[in-house]
Amino acid sequence: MTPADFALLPLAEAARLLRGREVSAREAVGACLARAEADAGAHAVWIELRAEAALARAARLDDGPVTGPLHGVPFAVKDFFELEGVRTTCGSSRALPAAQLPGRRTAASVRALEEAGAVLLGTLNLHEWAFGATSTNPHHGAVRNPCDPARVPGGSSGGSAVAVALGMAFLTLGTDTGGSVRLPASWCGVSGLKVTPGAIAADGCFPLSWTLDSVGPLARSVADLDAAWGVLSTTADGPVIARDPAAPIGLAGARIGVVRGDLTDTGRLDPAVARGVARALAAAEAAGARIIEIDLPATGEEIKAAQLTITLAEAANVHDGSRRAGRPLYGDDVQRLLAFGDLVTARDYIAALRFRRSFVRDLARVFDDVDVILSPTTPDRAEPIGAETVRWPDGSEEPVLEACIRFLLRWNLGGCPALGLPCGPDPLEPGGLPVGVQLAARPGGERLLLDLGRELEGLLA
Amino acid sequence: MHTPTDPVAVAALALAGAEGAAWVVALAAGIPATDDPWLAPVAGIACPPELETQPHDPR
Repeated sequence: MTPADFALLPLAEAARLLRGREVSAREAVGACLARAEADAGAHAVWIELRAEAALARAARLDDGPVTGPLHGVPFAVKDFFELEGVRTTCGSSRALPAAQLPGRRTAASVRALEEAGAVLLGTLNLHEWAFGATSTNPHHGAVRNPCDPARVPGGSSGGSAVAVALGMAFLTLGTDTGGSVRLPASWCGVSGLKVTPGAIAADGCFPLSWTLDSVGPLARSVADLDAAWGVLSTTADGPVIARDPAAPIGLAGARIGVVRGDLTDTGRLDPAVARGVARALAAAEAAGARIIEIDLPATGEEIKAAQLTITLAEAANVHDGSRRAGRPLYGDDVQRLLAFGDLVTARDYIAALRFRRSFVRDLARVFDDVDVILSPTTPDRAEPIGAETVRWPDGSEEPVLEACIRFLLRWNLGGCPALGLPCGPDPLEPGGLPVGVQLAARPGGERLLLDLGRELEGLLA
Repeated sequence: MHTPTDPVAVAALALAGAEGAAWVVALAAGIPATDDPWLAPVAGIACPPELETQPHDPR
Protein backbone atom coordinates (compact mmCIF):
# COMPACT_ATOMS: atom_id res chain seq x y z
CA MET A 1 0.00 0.00 0.00
CA THR A 2 1.37 3.40 -0.98
CA PRO A 3 1.18 6.38 1.38
CA ALA A 4 -1.34 7.95 -1.01
CA ASP A 5 -3.57 4.87 -0.66
CA PHE A 6 -3.23 4.88 3.12
CA ALA A 7 -4.44 8.46 3.35
CA LEU A 8 -7.75 7.45 1.77
CA LEU A 9 -8.46 4.40 3.92
CA PRO A 10 -11.56 4.33 6.12
CA LEU A 11 -10.69 5.88 9.48
CA ALA A 12 -11.43 2.71 11.47
CA GLU A 13 -9.13 0.67 9.20
CA ALA A 14 -6.32 3.23 9.40
CA ALA A 15 -6.69 3.36 13.19
CA ARG A 16 -6.54 -0.44 13.40
CA LEU A 17 -3.29 -0.51 11.39
CA LEU A 18 -1.83 2.24 13.55
CA ARG A 19 -2.78 0.60 16.85
CA GLY A 20 -1.34 -2.68 15.58
CA ARG A 21 1.91 -0.88 14.67
CA GLU A 22 1.55 -2.11 11.09
CA VAL A 23 1.79 1.54 10.05
CA SER A 24 3.70 4.09 12.11
CA ALA A 25 2.28 7.42 13.16
CA ARG A 26 5.11 9.09 11.19
CA GLU A 27 4.02 7.22 8.06
CA ALA A 28 0.37 8.15 8.60
CA VAL A 29 1.15 11.81 9.20
CA GLY A 30 3.59 11.80 6.28
CA ALA A 31 0.93 10.36 3.96
CA CYS A 32 -1.52 13.16 4.74
CA LEU A 33 1.15 15.87 4.73
CA ALA A 34 2.30 14.69 1.30
CA ARG A 35 -1.19 15.20 -0.09
CA ALA A 36 -1.48 18.61 1.58
CA GLU A 37 1.91 19.74 0.29
CA ALA A 38 1.24 18.39 -3.21
CA ASP A 39 -1.85 20.59 -3.38
CA ALA A 40 0.48 23.57 -2.87
CA GLY A 41 -2.35 25.86 -1.81
CA ALA A 42 -4.38 25.27 -4.98
CA HIS A 43 -7.53 24.63 -2.96
CA ALA A 44 -6.62 27.20 -0.24
CA VAL A 45 -7.39 24.59 2.39
CA TRP A 46 -4.93 25.49 5.11
CA ILE A 47 -4.37 28.55 7.22
CA GLU A 48 -1.47 27.00 9.09
CA LEU A 49 -0.07 23.59 8.19
CA ARG A 50 2.05 22.60 11.18
CA ALA A 51 4.07 19.83 9.57
CA GLU A 52 7.05 20.00 11.90
CA ALA A 53 4.95 19.87 15.08
CA ALA A 54 2.82 17.04 13.67
CA LEU A 55 5.84 14.92 12.73
CA ALA A 56 7.42 15.51 16.14
CA ARG A 57 4.26 14.41 17.89
CA ALA A 58 4.02 11.36 15.60
CA ALA A 59 7.59 10.42 16.50
CA ARG A 60 6.74 10.61 20.21
CA LEU A 61 3.72 8.35 19.64
CA ASP A 62 5.86 5.85 17.73
CA ASP A 63 8.35 5.74 20.56
CA GLY A 64 5.76 5.26 23.29
CA PRO A 65 2.85 2.96 24.08
CA VAL A 66 -0.40 2.98 22.10
CA THR A 67 -2.28 5.92 23.59
CA GLY A 68 -5.89 5.40 22.59
CA PRO A 69 -8.41 4.46 19.89
CA LEU A 70 -7.17 7.18 17.48
CA HIS A 71 -3.46 6.53 18.04
CA GLY A 72 -1.56 8.27 15.23
CA VAL A 73 -4.65 9.27 13.21
CA PRO A 74 -4.04 12.65 11.47
CA PHE A 75 -6.75 15.28 11.94
CA ALA A 76 -7.13 19.03 11.45
CA VAL A 77 -9.42 21.76 12.75
CA LYS A 78 -11.18 24.81 11.40
CA ASP A 79 -9.10 27.85 12.38
CA PHE A 80 -11.81 28.79 14.87
CA PHE A 81 -10.59 26.81 17.90
CA GLU A 82 -8.19 28.01 20.53
CA LEU A 83 -4.95 26.02 20.43
CA GLU A 84 -2.19 26.43 22.97
CA GLY A 85 0.69 28.35 21.40
CA VAL A 86 -1.03 28.79 18.02
CA ARG A 87 -2.38 32.05 16.60
CA THR A 88 -6.02 31.41 15.77
CA THR A 89 -7.16 33.87 13.09
CA CYS A 90 -10.84 32.83 12.84
CA GLY A 91 -10.30 33.38 9.12
CA SER A 92 -9.76 37.06 9.59
CA SER A 93 -6.80 39.36 8.92
CA ARG A 94 -3.49 38.55 10.56
CA ALA A 95 -3.20 42.31 11.17
CA LEU A 96 -5.90 42.11 13.84
CA PRO A 97 -4.57 42.14 17.41
CA ALA A 98 -6.51 38.99 18.33
CA ALA A 99 -4.65 37.04 15.66
CA GLN A 100 -1.29 38.10 17.06
CA LEU A 101 -1.74 36.40 20.41
CA PRO A 102 -0.94 32.70 20.72
CA GLY A 103 -3.71 30.68 22.33
CA ARG A 104 -3.36 30.00 26.03
CA ARG A 105 -5.11 26.62 26.09
CA THR A 106 -6.38 24.00 23.68
CA ALA A 107 -10.10 23.65 23.02
CA ALA A 108 -11.71 20.71 24.86
CA SER A 109 -12.75 18.87 21.68
CA VAL A 110 -9.27 19.11 20.19
CA ARG A 111 -7.71 18.05 23.49
CA ALA A 112 -9.96 14.98 23.61
CA LEU A 113 -8.85 13.89 20.13
CA GLU A 114 -5.21 14.40 21.05
CA GLU A 115 -5.62 12.45 24.30
CA ALA A 116 -7.07 9.62 22.21
CA GLY A 117 -3.85 9.63 20.19
CA ALA A 118 -4.87 11.67 17.13
CA VAL A 119 -2.27 14.00 15.62
CA LEU A 120 -3.16 17.60 14.80
CA LEU A 121 -1.83 18.60 11.37
CA GLY A 122 -2.85 22.26 11.44
CA THR A 123 -5.68 24.73 11.03
CA LEU A 124 -8.09 25.02 8.13
CA ASN A 125 -9.47 27.88 6.08
CA LEU A 126 -13.05 29.02 6.59
CA HIS A 127 -15.49 31.78 5.82
CA GLU A 128 -14.21 34.77 7.76
CA TRP A 129 -15.40 34.62 11.40
CA ALA A 130 -17.57 31.63 10.31
CA PHE A 131 -20.09 34.21 9.11
CA GLY A 132 -20.98 33.09 5.60
CA ALA A 133 -21.70 30.15 3.36
CA THR A 134 -19.00 30.18 0.68
CA SER A 135 -15.55 30.09 2.36
CA THR A 136 -14.43 32.67 -0.19
CA ASN A 137 -11.99 34.27 2.22
CA PRO A 138 -10.48 37.69 1.41
CA HIS A 139 -7.48 37.14 3.72
CA HIS A 140 -6.53 33.49 3.21
CA GLY A 141 -7.82 32.76 -0.29
CA ALA A 142 -11.03 31.35 -1.74
CA VAL A 143 -11.36 27.70 -0.72
CA ARG A 144 -11.97 25.61 -3.86
CA ASN A 145 -14.44 22.77 -4.28
CA PRO A 146 -12.63 19.41 -4.64
CA CYS A 147 -14.93 18.37 -7.50
CA ASP A 148 -14.71 21.63 -9.46
CA PRO A 149 -12.16 24.29 -8.47
CA ALA A 150 -14.25 27.02 -10.09
CA ARG A 151 -16.91 26.41 -7.45
CA VAL A 152 -17.10 27.08 -3.73
CA PRO A 153 -16.99 24.22 -1.21
CA GLY A 154 -19.73 25.81 0.90
CA GLY A 155 -19.10 27.16 4.35
CA SER A 156 -18.33 28.23 6.75
CA SER A 157 -16.26 25.09 7.45
CA GLY A 158 -15.11 24.90 3.82
CA GLY A 159 -11.49 23.94 4.47
CA SER A 160 -12.65 21.21 6.86
CA ALA A 161 -14.72 19.54 4.14
CA VAL A 162 -12.08 19.86 1.40
CA ALA A 163 -9.28 18.52 3.62
CA VAL A 164 -11.05 15.20 4.21
CA ALA A 165 -12.34 15.00 0.63
CA LEU A 166 -8.78 15.28 -0.70
CA GLY A 167 -7.26 12.87 1.83
CA MET A 168 -5.28 15.54 3.68
CA ALA A 169 -6.77 14.35 6.99
CA PHE A 170 -8.96 11.50 8.21
CA LEU A 171 -11.11 13.73 10.37
CA THR A 172 -11.66 17.46 10.76
CA LEU A 173 -13.60 19.64 13.15
CA GLY A 174 -15.90 22.44 12.09
CA THR A 175 -18.65 24.46 13.68
CA ASP A 176 -22.31 24.68 12.70
CA THR A 177 -24.48 27.68 13.59
CA GLY A 178 -26.77 27.64 10.56
CA GLY A 179 -25.43 24.71 8.55
CA SER A 180 -21.68 25.37 8.48
CA VAL A 181 -20.76 21.68 8.83
CA ARG A 182 -23.54 20.10 6.75
CA LEU A 183 -23.46 22.57 3.84
CA PRO A 184 -19.78 22.07 2.93
CA ALA A 185 -20.13 18.33 3.57
CA SER A 186 -22.96 18.22 1.04
CA TRP A 187 -21.22 20.32 -1.61
CA CYS A 188 -17.91 18.42 -1.27
CA GLY A 189 -19.35 14.89 -1.16
CA VAL A 190 -18.36 14.05 2.43
CA SER A 191 -20.21 13.49 5.70
CA GLY A 192 -20.73 15.93 8.56
CA LEU A 193 -22.50 15.79 11.90
CA LYS A 194 -24.06 18.81 13.56
CA VAL A 195 -24.60 17.73 17.15
CA THR A 196 -27.07 18.69 19.82
CA PRO A 197 -25.71 21.88 21.40
CA GLY A 198 -23.29 20.82 24.11
CA ALA A 199 -22.98 17.21 22.91
CA ILE A 200 -19.40 18.09 21.95
CA ALA A 201 -17.79 20.69 24.20
CA ALA A 202 -17.85 24.17 22.68
CA ASP A 203 -15.22 25.26 25.21
CA GLY A 204 -12.36 26.97 23.39
CA CYS A 205 -14.35 27.49 20.22
CA PHE A 206 -14.80 31.09 19.09
CA PRO A 207 -18.48 32.11 19.05
CA LEU A 208 -20.47 33.22 16.03
CA SER A 209 -23.87 33.06 17.74
CA TRP A 210 -23.38 31.38 21.07
CA THR A 211 -26.93 30.15 21.63
CA LEU A 212 -26.96 28.42 18.23
CA ASP A 213 -23.34 27.29 17.76
CA SER A 214 -22.29 23.66 17.91
CA VAL A 215 -19.05 21.85 17.15
CA GLY A 216 -19.17 19.15 14.49
CA PRO A 217 -16.86 16.58 12.89
CA LEU A 218 -16.46 15.99 9.15
CA ALA A 219 -15.06 12.86 7.49
CA ARG A 220 -15.27 10.93 4.23
CA SER A 221 -18.04 8.65 5.50
CA VAL A 222 -20.54 8.22 8.30
CA ALA A 223 -18.55 5.19 9.42
CA ASP A 224 -15.52 7.47 9.83
CA LEU A 225 -17.58 9.93 11.87
CA ASP A 226 -18.75 7.05 14.03
CA ALA A 227 -15.16 5.98 14.64
CA ALA A 228 -14.48 9.38 16.23
CA TRP A 229 -17.83 9.84 17.95
CA GLY A 230 -16.84 7.67 20.90
CA VAL A 231 -14.06 10.13 21.70
CA LEU A 232 -15.80 13.41 20.87
CA SER A 233 -18.98 12.53 22.81
CA THR A 234 -17.01 12.24 26.05
CA THR A 235 -16.56 16.02 26.04
CA ALA A 236 -20.28 16.82 26.36
CA ASP A 237 -20.66 20.01 28.38
CA GLY A 238 -24.32 20.78 28.09
CA PRO A 239 -27.54 19.43 29.52
CA VAL A 240 -27.74 16.83 26.78
CA ILE A 241 -30.36 14.24 27.49
CA ALA A 242 -29.92 10.83 25.88
CA ARG A 243 -33.19 10.33 24.06
CA ASP A 244 -32.24 7.41 21.85
CA PRO A 245 -34.58 4.45 22.02
CA ALA A 246 -33.50 1.73 24.43
CA ALA A 247 -33.31 -0.84 21.65
CA PRO A 248 -31.23 -0.03 18.58
CA ILE A 249 -33.25 0.87 15.53
CA GLY A 250 -32.21 -0.07 12.01
CA LEU A 251 -33.76 1.15 8.80
CA ALA A 252 -36.07 -1.88 8.97
CA GLY A 253 -38.89 -0.55 11.08
CA ALA A 254 -37.60 3.00 11.34
CA ARG A 255 -40.16 5.78 10.96
CA ILE A 256 -38.75 8.38 8.59
CA GLY A 257 -40.52 11.72 8.39
CA VAL A 258 -40.46 13.83 5.24
CA VAL A 259 -41.60 17.42 5.62
CA ARG A 260 -44.50 18.25 3.33
CA GLY A 261 -43.23 20.50 0.55
CA ASP A 262 -39.52 19.73 0.93
CA LEU A 263 -39.48 17.48 -2.14
CA THR A 264 -42.56 18.70 -3.96
CA ASP A 265 -41.51 22.33 -4.38
CA THR A 266 -39.70 21.28 -7.54
CA GLY A 267 -39.70 24.78 -8.96
CA ARG A 268 -37.10 25.70 -6.36
CA LEU A 269 -35.12 22.47 -6.18
CA ASP A 270 -32.17 21.39 -8.32
CA PRO A 271 -33.50 18.32 -10.23
CA ALA A 272 -30.29 16.41 -9.47
CA VAL A 273 -30.87 17.02 -5.75
CA ALA A 274 -34.47 15.81 -6.06
CA ARG A 275 -33.33 12.62 -7.81
CA GLY A 276 -30.55 11.96 -5.27
CA VAL A 277 -32.83 12.33 -2.27
CA ALA A 278 -35.56 10.25 -3.94
CA ARG A 279 -32.95 7.52 -4.41
CA ALA A 280 -32.04 7.67 -0.72
CA LEU A 281 -35.69 7.51 0.32
CA ALA A 282 -36.33 4.57 -1.99
CA ALA A 283 -33.32 2.73 -0.56
CA ALA A 284 -34.54 3.32 3.00
CA GLU A 285 -38.05 2.20 2.14
CA ALA A 286 -36.75 -0.93 0.41
CA ALA A 287 -34.82 -1.72 3.58
CA GLY A 288 -38.07 -1.65 5.56
CA ALA A 289 -38.37 1.96 6.71
CA ARG A 290 -41.80 3.55 6.88
CA ILE A 291 -42.00 6.96 5.18
CA ILE A 292 -44.40 9.38 6.88
CA GLU A 293 -45.31 12.82 5.59
CA ILE A 294 -45.19 15.39 8.37
CA ASP A 295 -45.48 19.13 8.99
CA LEU A 296 -43.06 21.20 11.02
CA PRO A 297 -44.53 23.51 13.66
CA ALA A 298 -43.35 26.59 11.72
CA THR A 299 -42.86 27.63 8.13
CA GLY A 300 -39.45 27.94 6.55
CA GLU A 301 -39.83 31.71 6.42
CA GLU A 302 -40.66 31.87 10.14
CA ILE A 303 -37.69 29.68 11.01
CA LYS A 304 -35.40 31.80 8.84
CA ALA A 305 -36.69 35.02 10.40
CA ALA A 306 -36.03 33.87 13.96
CA GLN A 307 -32.73 32.11 13.28
CA LEU A 308 -31.20 34.98 11.31
CA THR A 309 -32.42 37.60 13.77
CA ILE A 310 -30.74 35.72 16.63
CA THR A 311 -27.54 35.10 14.66
CA LEU A 312 -27.23 38.69 13.45
CA ALA A 313 -27.82 40.14 16.91
CA GLU A 314 -25.46 37.79 18.74
CA ALA A 315 -22.70 38.07 16.12
CA ALA A 316 -22.91 41.88 16.24
CA ASN A 317 -22.51 41.68 20.00
CA VAL A 318 -19.53 39.31 19.77
CA HIS A 319 -17.87 41.81 17.42
CA ASP A 320 -18.64 44.80 19.60
CA GLY A 321 -16.45 46.25 22.34
CA SER A 322 -12.74 45.86 21.69
CA ARG A 323 -13.38 44.05 18.40
CA ARG A 324 -15.45 46.88 16.88
CA ALA A 325 -12.34 48.88 16.05
CA GLY A 326 -11.07 45.98 13.95
CA ARG A 327 -14.21 45.70 11.84
CA PRO A 328 -12.86 47.86 8.99
CA LEU A 329 -10.29 45.10 8.40
CA TYR A 330 -13.04 42.49 7.91
CA GLY A 331 -14.27 41.50 4.46
CA ASP A 332 -17.10 43.57 3.00
CA ASP A 333 -19.70 40.81 3.33
CA VAL A 334 -19.00 40.22 7.03
CA GLN A 335 -18.94 43.96 7.76
CA ARG A 336 -22.35 44.26 6.16
CA LEU A 337 -23.82 41.31 8.08
CA LEU A 338 -22.51 42.77 11.34
CA ALA A 339 -24.07 46.12 10.45
CA PHE A 340 -27.38 44.29 9.96
CA GLY A 341 -26.89 42.82 13.43
CA ASP A 342 -26.32 46.28 14.90
CA LEU A 343 -29.77 47.21 13.61
CA VAL A 344 -31.64 44.35 15.33
CA THR A 345 -33.56 45.73 18.28
CA ALA A 346 -33.74 44.09 21.70
CA ARG A 347 -37.48 43.68 21.12
CA ASP A 348 -36.92 41.63 17.99
CA TYR A 349 -34.11 39.57 19.51
CA ILE A 350 -36.27 38.61 22.48
CA ALA A 351 -39.22 37.83 20.22
CA ALA A 352 -36.98 35.49 18.22
CA LEU A 353 -35.70 33.75 21.37
CA ARG A 354 -39.22 33.25 22.69
CA PHE A 355 -40.40 31.90 19.34
CA ARG A 356 -37.46 29.49 19.35
CA ARG A 357 -38.58 28.20 22.73
CA SER A 358 -42.04 27.43 21.39
CA PHE A 359 -40.56 25.88 18.24
CA VAL A 360 -38.37 23.54 20.32
CA ARG A 361 -41.37 22.54 22.43
CA ASP A 362 -43.60 21.85 19.43
CA LEU A 363 -40.84 20.08 17.49
CA ALA A 364 -40.53 17.53 20.31
CA ARG A 365 -44.09 16.43 19.55
CA VAL A 366 -43.23 15.86 15.89
CA PHE A 367 -40.57 13.38 17.00
CA ASP A 368 -43.23 11.41 18.89
CA ASP A 369 -44.42 10.18 15.49
CA VAL A 370 -41.11 9.71 13.66
CA ASP A 371 -37.60 8.55 14.57
CA VAL A 372 -35.77 10.76 12.10
CA ILE A 373 -36.63 13.39 9.51
CA LEU A 374 -35.05 13.14 6.06
CA SER A 375 -34.55 16.01 3.62
CA PRO A 376 -32.07 17.27 1.07
CA THR A 377 -29.13 18.86 2.87
CA THR A 378 -29.28 21.77 0.45
CA PRO A 379 -31.71 22.49 -2.40
CA ASP A 380 -28.83 23.38 -4.73
CA ARG A 381 -25.35 22.05 -5.44
CA ALA A 382 -21.99 23.80 -5.20
CA GLU A 383 -22.28 27.30 -6.63
CA PRO A 384 -19.64 29.04 -8.80
CA ILE A 385 -17.17 31.23 -6.92
CA GLY A 386 -18.52 34.78 -6.93
CA ALA A 387 -22.16 33.78 -7.62
CA GLU A 388 -24.55 35.88 -5.56
CA THR A 389 -27.86 34.35 -6.55
CA VAL A 390 -29.30 30.93 -7.40
CA ARG A 391 -31.61 30.69 -10.42
CA TRP A 392 -34.29 28.03 -9.81
CA PRO A 393 -36.07 25.88 -12.41
CA ASP A 394 -39.18 28.07 -12.07
CA GLY A 395 -37.14 31.10 -13.18
CA SER A 396 -37.03 32.79 -9.77
CA GLU A 397 -33.77 33.92 -8.17
CA GLU A 398 -32.71 33.72 -4.52
CA PRO A 399 -29.53 34.95 -2.77
CA VAL A 400 -27.06 32.06 -2.36
CA LEU A 401 -26.80 32.70 1.38
CA GLU A 402 -30.55 32.27 1.86
CA ALA A 403 -31.06 29.46 -0.65
CA CYS A 404 -28.49 27.01 0.65
CA ILE A 405 -29.69 27.17 4.26
CA ARG A 406 -33.35 26.33 3.51
CA PHE A 407 -33.21 22.81 5.05
CA LEU A 408 -30.42 23.50 7.53
CA LEU A 409 -31.63 26.26 9.86
CA ARG A 410 -34.55 24.28 11.29
CA TRP A 411 -32.21 21.97 13.21
CA ASN A 412 -30.08 24.78 14.63
CA LEU A 413 -33.17 26.65 15.80
CA GLY A 414 -34.68 23.40 17.08
CA GLY A 415 -31.53 22.29 18.93
CA CYS A 416 -31.56 18.91 17.15
CA PRO A 417 -28.64 16.84 15.85
CA ALA A 418 -28.46 16.46 12.06
CA LEU A 419 -26.26 14.29 9.88
CA GLY A 420 -25.34 15.11 6.28
CA LEU A 421 -24.14 12.35 3.97
CA PRO A 422 -23.67 12.02 0.22
CA CYS A 423 -26.45 10.55 -1.94
CA GLY A 424 -24.96 11.42 -5.29
CA PRO A 425 -23.60 12.50 -7.71
CA ASP A 426 -26.58 12.09 -9.93
CA PRO A 427 -26.41 8.88 -12.01
CA LEU A 428 -27.82 10.92 -14.90
CA GLU A 429 -24.79 13.23 -14.70
CA PRO A 430 -21.67 11.06 -14.48
CA GLY A 431 -18.89 13.07 -12.87
CA GLY A 432 -21.43 15.60 -11.67
CA LEU A 433 -21.37 17.58 -8.47
CA PRO A 434 -22.14 15.89 -5.14
CA VAL A 435 -25.64 15.81 -3.68
CA GLY A 436 -26.32 15.48 0.04
CA VAL A 437 -29.12 14.05 2.11
CA GLN A 438 -29.79 15.07 5.71
CA LEU A 439 -31.15 13.02 8.63
CA ALA A 440 -32.21 14.78 11.83
CA ALA A 441 -33.29 13.40 15.19
CA ARG A 442 -34.56 14.67 18.51
CA PRO A 443 -31.99 16.21 20.90
CA GLY A 444 -29.47 13.62 22.03
CA GLY A 445 -30.16 11.37 19.02
CA GLU A 446 -26.63 11.26 17.61
CA ARG A 447 -26.27 7.49 18.11
CA LEU A 448 -29.46 6.85 16.16
CA LEU A 449 -28.33 9.14 13.33
CA LEU A 450 -24.96 7.43 13.05
CA ASP A 451 -26.55 3.95 13.02
CA LEU A 452 -29.14 4.82 10.38
CA GLY A 453 -26.66 6.93 8.41
CA ARG A 454 -24.14 4.08 8.24
CA GLU A 455 -26.82 1.72 7.02
CA LEU A 456 -28.05 4.20 4.43
CA GLU A 457 -24.57 4.99 3.12
CA GLY A 458 -24.01 1.26 2.71
CA LEU A 459 -27.15 1.01 0.59
CA LEU A 460 -26.18 4.03 -1.53
CA ALA A 461 -22.55 2.98 -2.11
CA MET B 1 -36.82 49.47 14.21
CA HIS B 2 -36.27 52.78 15.94
CA THR B 3 -34.61 55.72 14.21
CA PRO B 4 -31.03 55.53 15.38
CA THR B 5 -29.31 58.52 16.91
CA ASP B 6 -26.19 57.05 18.48
CA PRO B 7 -23.08 57.02 16.28
CA VAL B 8 -22.75 53.22 16.15
CA ALA B 9 -26.30 52.74 14.92
CA VAL B 10 -26.00 55.58 12.41
CA ALA B 11 -22.81 54.02 11.05
CA ALA B 12 -24.49 50.60 10.90
CA LEU B 13 -27.39 52.03 8.96
CA ALA B 14 -25.01 53.65 6.50
CA LEU B 15 -23.13 50.39 6.01
CA ALA B 16 -26.24 48.23 5.75
CA GLY B 17 -27.85 50.56 3.24
CA ALA B 18 -31.57 51.09 2.86
CA GLU B 19 -32.06 47.67 1.28
CA GLY B 20 -30.16 45.89 4.06
CA ALA B 21 -31.98 47.78 6.77
CA ALA B 22 -35.29 46.89 5.16
CA TRP B 23 -34.23 43.22 5.11
CA VAL B 24 -33.59 43.30 8.86
CA VAL B 25 -37.01 44.86 9.46
CA ALA B 26 -38.64 42.26 7.21
CA LEU B 27 -36.91 39.43 9.06
CA ALA B 28 -38.14 40.72 12.40
CA ALA B 29 -41.65 41.10 11.03
CA GLY B 30 -41.59 37.44 10.04
CA ILE B 31 -41.11 36.18 13.60
CA PRO B 32 -44.41 34.76 14.85
CA ALA B 33 -45.76 36.41 17.98
CA THR B 34 -45.46 34.34 21.15
CA ASP B 35 -48.19 35.34 23.56
CA ASP B 36 -47.68 32.71 26.28
CA PRO B 37 -46.30 34.76 29.19
CA TRP B 38 -44.65 31.65 30.69
CA LEU B 39 -42.60 31.01 27.58
CA ALA B 40 -39.41 32.69 28.70
CA PRO B 41 -36.50 33.06 26.28
CA VAL B 42 -34.18 31.13 28.57
CA ALA B 43 -32.95 27.60 29.27
CA GLY B 44 -30.62 25.50 27.21
CA ILE B 45 -32.28 24.54 23.97
CA ALA B 46 -30.52 21.19 24.08
CA CYS B 47 -32.73 20.13 26.91
CA PRO B 48 -36.05 18.69 25.77
CA PRO B 49 -38.69 21.12 27.00
CA GLU B 50 -40.68 18.57 28.94
CA LEU B 51 -37.62 17.93 31.10
CA GLU B 52 -36.97 21.58 31.81
CA THR B 53 -38.19 22.97 35.10
CA GLN B 54 -39.78 26.36 35.47
CA PRO B 55 -40.59 26.80 39.15
CA HIS B 56 -42.79 29.78 38.41
CA ASP B 57 -44.85 27.92 35.82
CA PRO B 58 -48.19 26.97 37.41
CA ARG B 59 -48.92 24.20 34.91
